[in-house]
Amino acid sequence: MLTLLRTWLQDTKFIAALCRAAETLARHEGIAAPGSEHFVLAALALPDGSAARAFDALGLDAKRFRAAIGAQFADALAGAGVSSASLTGQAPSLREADGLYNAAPSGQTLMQRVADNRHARQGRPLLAADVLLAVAAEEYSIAARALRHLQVTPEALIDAARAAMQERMATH
Amino acid sequence: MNPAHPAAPSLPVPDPADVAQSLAAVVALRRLADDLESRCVVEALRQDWSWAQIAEALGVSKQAAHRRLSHLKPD
Repeated sequence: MLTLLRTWLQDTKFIAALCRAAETLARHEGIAAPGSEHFVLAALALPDGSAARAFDALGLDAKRFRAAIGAQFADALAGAGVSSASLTGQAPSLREADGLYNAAPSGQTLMQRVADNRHARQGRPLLAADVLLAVAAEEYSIAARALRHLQVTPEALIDAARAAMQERMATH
Repeated sequence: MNPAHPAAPSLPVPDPADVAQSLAAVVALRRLADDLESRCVVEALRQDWSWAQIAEALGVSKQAAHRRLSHLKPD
């Protein structure tokens, strides 16, 4: 019972930290509501390090993922005859967020997937790599297109995320 | 020429049959439009435009403009 309560508290703190970090990253880009790509970037910086280790095993890091997000936008814009270099410079500042937390639909779906894997986790607390498992289920989102641009298959991402989680649980 | 929009320049567009590529272009164009809109509104507020003027220029109601864009902060 005590273990369950401790895990629940850890998960609550994890989700709060993840949402806060994703929102901060999105707002730095002038975007009010974070999408799943912001949640992946936020997970890569979480202190348990499992998402960053999984990315590392795939030869990736946050910088390369961010670049791939930009590259998939550039590819998509080029297909519509628009140069992605049209807008440069700092995105506009946004006021501090207030009221209810608001994620973009892709961010909401991803967080729902993270929360829904409770039974599969069998009492294990949430880890940053759980976000990678959730994003591996996406096919057409910005994050999925960025991963495809990096030639990372969902299967490879799942394998790397699971290995990083096992390593983390074995050492803590 | 598109008879519905006689002044519109012709742009290369993805083949709508390639659904994934076309939808990716829609998302990217929307993101670009949102970014341009944010930058313009920040500049308009800096130049003391009212929300009524901004709304009129964007072709939306003042309430809609304020609801969607009031999180922007002129530096």
